[in-house]
Amino acid sequence: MPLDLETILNLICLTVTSLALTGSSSQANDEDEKLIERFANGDREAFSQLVTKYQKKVFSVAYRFVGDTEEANDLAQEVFTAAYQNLKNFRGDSKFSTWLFQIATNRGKNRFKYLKRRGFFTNRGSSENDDEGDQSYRAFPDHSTNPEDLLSGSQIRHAVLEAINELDPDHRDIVILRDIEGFSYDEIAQMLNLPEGTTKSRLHRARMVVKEKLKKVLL
Amino acid sequence: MMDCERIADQFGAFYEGDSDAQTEKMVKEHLKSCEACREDFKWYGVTIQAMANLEQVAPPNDFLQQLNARIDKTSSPFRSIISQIKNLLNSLPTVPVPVGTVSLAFVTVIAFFVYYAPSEIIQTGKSDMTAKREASTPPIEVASRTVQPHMVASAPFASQPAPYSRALVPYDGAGRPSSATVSWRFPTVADEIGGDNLTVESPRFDIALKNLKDILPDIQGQLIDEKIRWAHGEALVGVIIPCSKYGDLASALVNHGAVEVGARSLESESPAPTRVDNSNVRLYIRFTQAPQ
Repeated sequence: MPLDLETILNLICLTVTSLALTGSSSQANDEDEKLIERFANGDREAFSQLVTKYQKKVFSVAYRFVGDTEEANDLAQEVFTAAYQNLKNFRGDSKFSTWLFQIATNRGKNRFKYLKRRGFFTNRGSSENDDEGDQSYRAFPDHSTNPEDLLSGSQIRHAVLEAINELDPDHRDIVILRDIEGFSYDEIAQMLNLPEGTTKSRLHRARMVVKEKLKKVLL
Repeated sequence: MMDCERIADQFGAFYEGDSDAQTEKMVKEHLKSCEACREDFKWYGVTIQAMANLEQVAPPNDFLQQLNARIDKTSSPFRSIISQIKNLLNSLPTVPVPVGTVSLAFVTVIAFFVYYAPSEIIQTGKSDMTAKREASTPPIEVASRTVQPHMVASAPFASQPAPYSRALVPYDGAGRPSSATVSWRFPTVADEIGGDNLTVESPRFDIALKNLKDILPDIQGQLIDEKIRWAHGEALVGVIIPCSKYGDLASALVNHGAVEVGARSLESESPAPTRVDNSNVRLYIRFTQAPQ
């Protein structure tokens, strides 16, 4: 089958991008290893550098699990504290970042369950939406047949968040890690101790559920 | 309809460009001809984009300072243990926290009880090896147990040796073991006898000990063990005597005048020597220095 020019260009772009990503990822991993070694030798500043490097991403993951900045801050600090206490036991079987986000995911799942049991989300769910005055998004009058137009509105953000929060935990964490935080399938599989195939199929099912809920709310 | 379901299953791989060429071609052709699937696929893409476009959040500026303060706070050993327990409870999301807390409290109470319970209760958990060891060595007792003359004549006999004591014993601060706990110390030789034996308190325990040795031939008794710690003002003596002479021995100890028996007796409990055979008992007597 002859390849057209567009396909060839796409392939070249993909290859260059993946090489660049692999290179930068490997470099980042080497940096982490050096910092961990320094920390093991008693240099606490090395741990601070690791925190500075990953705090934004850890905080973001935490926020996706709990949906509240104060809780996310507490959760992110808990994650780093656990990492600090256990870093001496880190054997380097996986990348430090994978290990760190594995802690973040586990703690995030547990915190979400904990807060849900205590009615945290039901008590505050509606009030959070009130500040933008768009409670009417449930009856969003969209008669266009072009769903892309909806992306510009804040309604869809609320609808997405609500739909994600209603997912069962096993599907929810994969959606958060892949579609919101952009981790690779390989990293997610390691973080969640799942085969890559299972990760993909769960993600697909989760997306389909979110999609149906979005359609229901927005159409 | 069947085709539509199969195509929908391929949306993920197709959207991310992971489909093989044949599947990609099949999906493309189906989407061209099926408006419902085309619409559905658009929504699939919108969903993914909407999730990727959620607002960005950032940690507070003083995140690192907050974290360092927290790490310092949790670094003390006591807080570290509390933190470990808390983490353990947090890592069991399926167990409601009240249940976890109650369980922890229950375990704590049990541990406290086992540690501070009387040794008679603890002995039910002894191993065979411990029992053998006890059979070959003088048994150990924690609390000071003294004998009153009126009790000894009807003394029952124990079929098993007395249990070992805990590591620490109550101490009244005046050189004597005490049931009223003032402070704790490691057991001395005077503590190392069982609940089945006699305790003798004397202002001159050395004279009391000599008297005991004088009495033994009269009651067909035999000295089998003797440990004396002059510095601590205490001695432990092991004897084998005929069962029938048990009461005579206790009475003789009292009658010799050099000893004082039963100064701090436990009224409700009777001494019970270990039976050696049908006619003899092994008996340990401890002599302690009475307060002057």
